[in-house]
Amino acid sequence: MKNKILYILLACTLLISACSDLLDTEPRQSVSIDGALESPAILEALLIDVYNSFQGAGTLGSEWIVVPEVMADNFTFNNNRGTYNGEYFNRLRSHLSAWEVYGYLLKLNVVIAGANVLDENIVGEAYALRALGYLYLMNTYAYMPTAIVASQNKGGVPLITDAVLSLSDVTLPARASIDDVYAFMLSDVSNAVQRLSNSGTNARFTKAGAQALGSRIALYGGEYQLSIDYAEDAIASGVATLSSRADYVSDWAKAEHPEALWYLEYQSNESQGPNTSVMSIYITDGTVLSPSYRGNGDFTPSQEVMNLFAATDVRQGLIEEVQTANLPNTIGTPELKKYIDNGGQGNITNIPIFRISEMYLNIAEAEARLNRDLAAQTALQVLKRRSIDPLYVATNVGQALLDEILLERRLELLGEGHRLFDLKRMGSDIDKSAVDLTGEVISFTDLRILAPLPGGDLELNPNLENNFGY
Amino acid sequence: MKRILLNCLMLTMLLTTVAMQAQDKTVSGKVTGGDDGLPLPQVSVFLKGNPTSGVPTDFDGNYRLTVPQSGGVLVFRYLGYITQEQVIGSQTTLNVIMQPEVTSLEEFVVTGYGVEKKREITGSISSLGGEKIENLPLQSFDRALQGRAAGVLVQSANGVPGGAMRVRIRGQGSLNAGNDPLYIVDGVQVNNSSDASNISTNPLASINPNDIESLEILKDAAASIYGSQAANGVVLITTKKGKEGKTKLNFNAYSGWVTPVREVDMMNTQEFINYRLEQRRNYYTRFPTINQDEAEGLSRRNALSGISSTQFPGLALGNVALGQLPQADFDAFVNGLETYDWQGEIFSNVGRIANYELSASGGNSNTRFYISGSYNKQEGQIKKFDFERGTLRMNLDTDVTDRLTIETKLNLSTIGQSGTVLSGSAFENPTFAGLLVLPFNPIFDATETTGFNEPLAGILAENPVKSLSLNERTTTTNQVIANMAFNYQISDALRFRSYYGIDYRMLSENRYTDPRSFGGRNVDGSAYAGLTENINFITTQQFNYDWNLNSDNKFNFLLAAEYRQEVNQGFSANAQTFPTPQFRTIASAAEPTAAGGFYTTWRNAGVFTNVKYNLKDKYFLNGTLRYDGSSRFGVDQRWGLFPSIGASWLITEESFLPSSNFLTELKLRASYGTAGNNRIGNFDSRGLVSSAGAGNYLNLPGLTISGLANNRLSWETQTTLNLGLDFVFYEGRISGSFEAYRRRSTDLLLDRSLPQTSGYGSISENVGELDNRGIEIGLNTVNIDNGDFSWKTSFNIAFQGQELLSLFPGETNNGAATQVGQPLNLWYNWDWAGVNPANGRPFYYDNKGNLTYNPQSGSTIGDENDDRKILGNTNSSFFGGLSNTVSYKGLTLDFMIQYDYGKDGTDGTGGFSYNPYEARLNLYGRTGDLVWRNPGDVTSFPRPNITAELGAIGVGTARALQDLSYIRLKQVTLSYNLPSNLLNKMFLDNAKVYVQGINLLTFTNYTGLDPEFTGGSQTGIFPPSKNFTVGVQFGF
Repeated sequence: MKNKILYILLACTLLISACSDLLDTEPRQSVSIDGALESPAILEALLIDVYNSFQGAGTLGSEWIVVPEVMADNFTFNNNRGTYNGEYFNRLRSHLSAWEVYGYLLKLNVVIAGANVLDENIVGEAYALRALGYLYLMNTYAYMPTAIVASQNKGGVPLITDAVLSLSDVTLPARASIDDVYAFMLSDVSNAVQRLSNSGTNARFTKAGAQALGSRIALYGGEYQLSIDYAEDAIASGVATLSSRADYVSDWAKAEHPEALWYLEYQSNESQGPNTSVMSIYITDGTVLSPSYRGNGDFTPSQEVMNLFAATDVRQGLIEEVQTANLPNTIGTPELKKYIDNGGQGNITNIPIFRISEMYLNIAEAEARLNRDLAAQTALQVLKRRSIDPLYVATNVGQALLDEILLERRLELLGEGHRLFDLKRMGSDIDKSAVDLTGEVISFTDLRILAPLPGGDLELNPNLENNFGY
Repeated sequence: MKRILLNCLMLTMLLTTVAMQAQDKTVSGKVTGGDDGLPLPQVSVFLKGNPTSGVPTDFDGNYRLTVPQSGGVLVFRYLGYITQEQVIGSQTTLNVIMQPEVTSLEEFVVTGYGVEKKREITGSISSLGGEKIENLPLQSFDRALQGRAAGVLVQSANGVPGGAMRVRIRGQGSLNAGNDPLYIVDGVQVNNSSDASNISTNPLASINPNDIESLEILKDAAASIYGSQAANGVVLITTKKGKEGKTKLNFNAYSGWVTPVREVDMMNTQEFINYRLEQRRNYYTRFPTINQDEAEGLSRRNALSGISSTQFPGLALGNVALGQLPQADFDAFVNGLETYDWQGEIFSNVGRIANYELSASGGNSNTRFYISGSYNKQEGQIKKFDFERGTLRMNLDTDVTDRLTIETKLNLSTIGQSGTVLSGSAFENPTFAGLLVLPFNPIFDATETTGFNEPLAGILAENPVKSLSLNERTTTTNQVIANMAFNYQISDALRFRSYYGIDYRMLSENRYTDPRSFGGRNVDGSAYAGLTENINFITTQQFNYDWNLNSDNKFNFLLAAEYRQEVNQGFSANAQTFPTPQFRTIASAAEPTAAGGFYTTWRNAGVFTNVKYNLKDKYFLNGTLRYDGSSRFGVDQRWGLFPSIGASWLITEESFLPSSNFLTELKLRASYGTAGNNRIGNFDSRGLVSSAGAGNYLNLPGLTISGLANNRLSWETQTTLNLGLDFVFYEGRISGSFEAYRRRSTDLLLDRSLPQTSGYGSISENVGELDNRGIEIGLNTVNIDNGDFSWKTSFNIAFQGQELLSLFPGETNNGAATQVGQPLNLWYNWDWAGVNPANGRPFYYDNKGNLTYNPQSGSTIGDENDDRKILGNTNSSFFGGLSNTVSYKGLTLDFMIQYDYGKDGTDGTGGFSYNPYEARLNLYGRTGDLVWRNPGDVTSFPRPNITAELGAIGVGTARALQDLSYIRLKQVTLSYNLPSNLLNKMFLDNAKVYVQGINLLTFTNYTGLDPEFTGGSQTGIFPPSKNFTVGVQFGF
C-alpha cells in the first residue's frame, strides 16, 4: 500500500517535471518578438511610438523647445518653480539631453530593416524621423560644422544604423566625425524625400516636412545651396502657406498652424499637463482661447528681446502683459503666447516644428552667406513686409544684411527652440549679463556649450569619449 | 497538465481511503499532576499521530478514548507539563502522572509544512504568540512585528492607517528582485503586493490580528523547503482553531483617538519675507553695475511677491523709487501682516479608533470550530484618511472517521480606505503643501462660494485644505483567503494531506477631482474608476511518514508536491466634465478620456522532501530538498534544486554535564542551505513587442520593443549558514538565544546595463554576489516573581552588515548607490566642508581633500575628476526592541520600546524648505537662524540667495544628510483582569479592561516629520500617529 502511494507520487512528480508546458505562460499586452517584425502593422506601430516619443516632455513636447531658449539669452527666469532652473543658470551638466533618442533609433532601424514589407511612405517617415533624431543628438553633444573649437572637438555622436535584436548585435561604438553624421543625416533626408508624398496629414512627415528638415540640417551643416533647394521645394509643395500680416497672431490659435510643414498634434487625452507643457512654462495668465487659464509662467521674454521689436512689429501681438493679480507672475510681466490651448484645452498645444517662415529665413541666410545679396533681400523682404511694414524694402548688403537676417530670425523664431543652436553654429558667446538674466557671459570656448555624454554609456563603452572638460 | 496532476492526486486519495477498516476498543484512566497529586482537567489525550482524534480529561482528570484493537501509543499533553506517551498494551485502564515542565522545549512551533517541538528545531525561527499582538490598534499584523522579532526590520512607508509595510528579514539580499518575505496564511502563500494606486494598501490587513494564534518567522535554511520563493525568509501565520469543550464566547471592544506625532516649525510671515529680502539683496550683488536703489527696489518687490499694490502702495512705484522708500515703511508693513497656521489646520483632526469583535470557539469530539467577526475603524490624523474593515472568519475541522479529518479555514474581509493625493511633492499633498505654503496666505475666504482662499500667492497656488475637503479617493479591497485540507491517516505512521488554498483579492478604486477644486476647474471635474483582481491558487499534496528504528532512532519523512498559479488583471477608465459637484462618480461624467487594462500571470511548481532524524532526543538532523520551477525564468533555466541541512545538539541532555541549578538548558544549532528568489517581473526573461510602455500618436496605437530575451535568466540563489545557541538559566529566570549567520546571495538578478546606443537600457541577467552577515540576540528575563508581583523583560537586538562582493566582470558599480566592496544603498556625493566664513559660500572637499566651491562628478564614478565619496548608507546598523511586563495581582503594565540605529537619509521636504537658496516655498523656521550673514560668521548654512552662487554649486546631499536613528516608546498598555470572585457573580470566564497608547514618545535627531520611512529620502510623508485607546474584553 505504502509503496503504491509512493510510486504514484513519484509518477506525479515526474509528470510535473516532464511537462514543461506546466510553466508556460503568455502575456496579453505583448507578443513575442520572434516573427513579429515581418508584420507591417507591428512595424508601423513601432513608428507611431517614435512619433509619440518626439511628442513627449523630454523632447519636442517641451524640453527641446524651451531649453535652447533659456540656456541662451532670450528669456528671463521668474523663479516660480525649479523647472529648467539649472539650464537657465547654465550650471555645469544642466543641459539638453538627447541620448534617449537611441531608444527611438532602435525602432526606426527595425522599421527601415523591414522596408520590403512596408509601404514606401512608412519607410520614408522612418528615414525622416531618424535624421531628426540625429539632428538633436548633434545639436546637444557636438559642435556644428560651421563653428568648431578644434582643440576641444571630440567629434559627432555614434552612428547606429542597423537593427539590434539580440545581445550579439549590441556594439560599443565610438563617436563618428561631425561631417560623417551630417552626411548620414542628409542621406536619410534624401531617402525620405524620395519615398514620401505630399498627401496626408502634416502631423506626420510629408515630403515637404522632410524637405524642411533637410533645409535646416543643410543650413546647420553649412551646405547653403542644399538648404536653399530644400527650402524652396518645401515652400513650393503647397502643404503649408505663409501667414498674412492680418492673421499672423490668430494663426497661432488654430489647431493646425497654416505655416506648419510638420507639427506635433495632441489629442484631448494627451494633455502635456501644467508641469511640463510649453504653454504652462511660458504663460501664467489667460489666453484668447481660455481667459481663465492659469499656468506657471516660468520663463518670459527678457527686456533686451522686448526692446528689439520695432514699434509696428505684428509679432508683439503674441506677447501679452499679465493682467490678473495674484498669479505667479506680477501684473505687467510680458508673456509669450505662441503656444496656447489650440488643442482644445489648457496645456494641450499642438506644436509646429517646421514653419514656412523658417524656410524663408533659411533661404535668406543661405543666399547671404553665398554672397547673393539680392536673393537674400528678396527672401527677407517677404518676412519683413509681413512683420513690420507691407512696403518694406531691404537695402542692407553684406554683413549688415546678414545681421538683419539673423535678427529677424531671432524675433521670428522666438521661443521655438532655435536660439542656442543659432548662437552655437556662429561660434557666438552667450551674453547673459543683463540684470534680468544671470549676470554671466558664457564664452563659446566654455565647456558648457556642449552637453556631457551620459555616465552610464561612458562607463560601459571604452570607445566613447566624453566632451571636453567633463 | 494541471488536470492530470490533480487526477493523480485524487486517485491517490481514493486508494488510501480503502485501507481504513479496523476493530476498536476503549481505554480510560485518570491523569494527575506530579507536583501536587491533584487531578488535571483539560489534558489532551490522543492517539499518537492523530492529534485531532483526542479527548480532554474532565474536571476530575478522567478520560475515555476509543482506540484501535491493535493498540498504539497514547499521548497526554497539557500546557505547562511534559507531554507523555504511553504504549497501549492489552490493558484498558491507563492512569498517568504528568510532570510539570521546567523547560519550553516541548512547545510546538509551526514550521514549513508541519509543526515541530522546540527541542527538535535546527533552524532559526522567531515565534510570536498571538497574545503578544492582541488588541493592538494596528490594522495589520506585520506592523506588530516591529521590534518584537530579532533580525526582522519592519518599517512603514507612511502612517496611512492600513498602509503598506516593508519587512526585511536579515537585511536586503537582492538588488533588483523583490526583498519581501513570503507570507503564508494557514498554508496559503498570499500575494502581499499592494496593487492600489490611490492610497497605500496592505493585503495583510485583511486578517484581523486578533484571529492570529501564532506568527513564525523562518529566517535561515529553515525556509529552504519553500525553494525558489524562500530567499527573503518566510512568515507563517497560523490562525486560531477551536478546542474541544464548552463553547467560549469572547467579546472585545476598544475605542480611542489618533493625534499627530509632531508638527514642524516653519517660518512665520515676517521671518519669511525678511528672509526673501536678504536672498534678493545678496543675489543682486552679482550684477556689479546695477544702480543700488534699483537693486533694493527689485529686492523689495520680490520679497513682497504675492502681496498686491493695494496692500502695499509702494509696489506701484518704479524699482528705483521703491528702493528709496525708508526701510521703516517696509518693516512696518511687513510687521502688520498675519501668519496663518496651515499645518495646524491640516493636522487638527482628532481621528477616532473603534474596534469591536466577537468570537466563539469550541467543539465536540468530532468537530471543532472558531468563528469570529470584527469591525475596525481608524480615522487618520488628517481628515479624510480613514480605514474601515469588516472581517469574518470561520475555522472548522471535523473528523469524518477515525482516520479522515477535514479542515477548512475561511477569511472574508472588506476594507474601505479613503484619502486624497499623498504623493511626494504634489501640490495637492497636504503633508507637503501644508508645510510649504507661503505663511501670509489666508486659508479661508468667506467671499468664495467654497469658503476657501484660492489661488494662493506663490507657486503653491492650490489650497491644500480646499483640495482635501473637496476631492476624494476611495479604495475598497474585498479579499478571501480560504483553504481546505483532507488529512488521512493511512496507517499509524503514514499520513496523507491534500491541501487547496485560494487568495482572491478584488480592489476597486475611485478618484474624484471636484469641479470647484484647483485640479478640476479647467475640466469641470474629473474621475477615475479602476478594478483590479488577483487570483492566487495553491495546492499541496503531502505524505508524512514516521518511522522509529528503535526508541533511540526516530525518523520523520515528508514528500510533497506543490503548484501555485497567480493571475493579476484589471481595467480602468478616466472621464471628465461633471454637471455639478453633487455628481461624484464616473457614470455622471460627460467625456471619457482614457481607458486602460492589464493582465499578467505566473506559475510555480515544485516537489520536495524533508527528512528529520532524532537520535536519543538530543541529536537532531533535518534535511530538505526541493526541486522547483517558475514560469518567470528563461526557458533554458526554469527548474532548480534547493537543498538544506540542519543539525542540533541538546547539550544539557548529556550525562557528562552535571545537573545544576544554574544551567537548565543549552542547545547548539547549525544549519546550511539554499533558497531562491524569484521575485522578478513575470515576463522579464522574454523579448517582447509590447503595448505597455508604448504611446499613441494621432489616436493610432504604438508598440515598443520591451527588451532583449534572456533564455538563461534564472532565480537568485541565497546560501545561508546559521549558528545558534539557545539557553535557559536558573530554571527559566533567564533564557534566550544567540545567533550568527552569513547569507550569501549569488547569481543576483541584475539589470546589466547595456550602452544606451543599442536602444536598450539593460538586460536582466544572473550575475554578482552579495553578502549579508549578522548577529541576533534575544533575551528574556524574569526579574521579579513573588506570586502577586512579577516583572518580566524581553529584549532583542540585531546587528547587520552587508557587502556587495561582485557585479559583472570588471564592473565596480551599478550606479552610484551600488558599489562593489560596500553595502548597498550608498549615499555617494560631494563631501560638505561647511561655509566659507569670509563670503558665505558653500565649501566642499575635492578628491584630493582640498576645499572647493565647485566639486565635479567626473565622467564616470570614481574617475580622476570625480570629487564624490561615500557619505553613508540607508541601512540600519542595529535595531530591535525591549518589552517589559510588570504585573501585580490582576493589574498588568506592558511597555515596548523599539529602536533603529545607523540609517542615514535626507528629508525630502527639507530639500526644499531647509535650503538657503529656496525662495518660492516657506522654509523651516530654523533655516533663518543658521545662515551666514556677515564676514566672519561661522555657520552651517551658506549666505541666503535665490540660486547657487556664480561658479559654485548649491547645498548638496551631504549637507542635507541626516542620521535617521530613533528610539520610540512604541506601546504602553495598562490592563486589569477582574478577580475571579467578581467574575463568578457576573457569570464571566474572564474580563479585562485596558488602556493603551501607541507611539507616545520618539527620540531622534532627525528634523523632518518622522524618522521612520522606507528608502533614503521622503518628501511629504504621512507621518505615523499617536494612538490612545481604551478597551474591554469579556469571555463567557
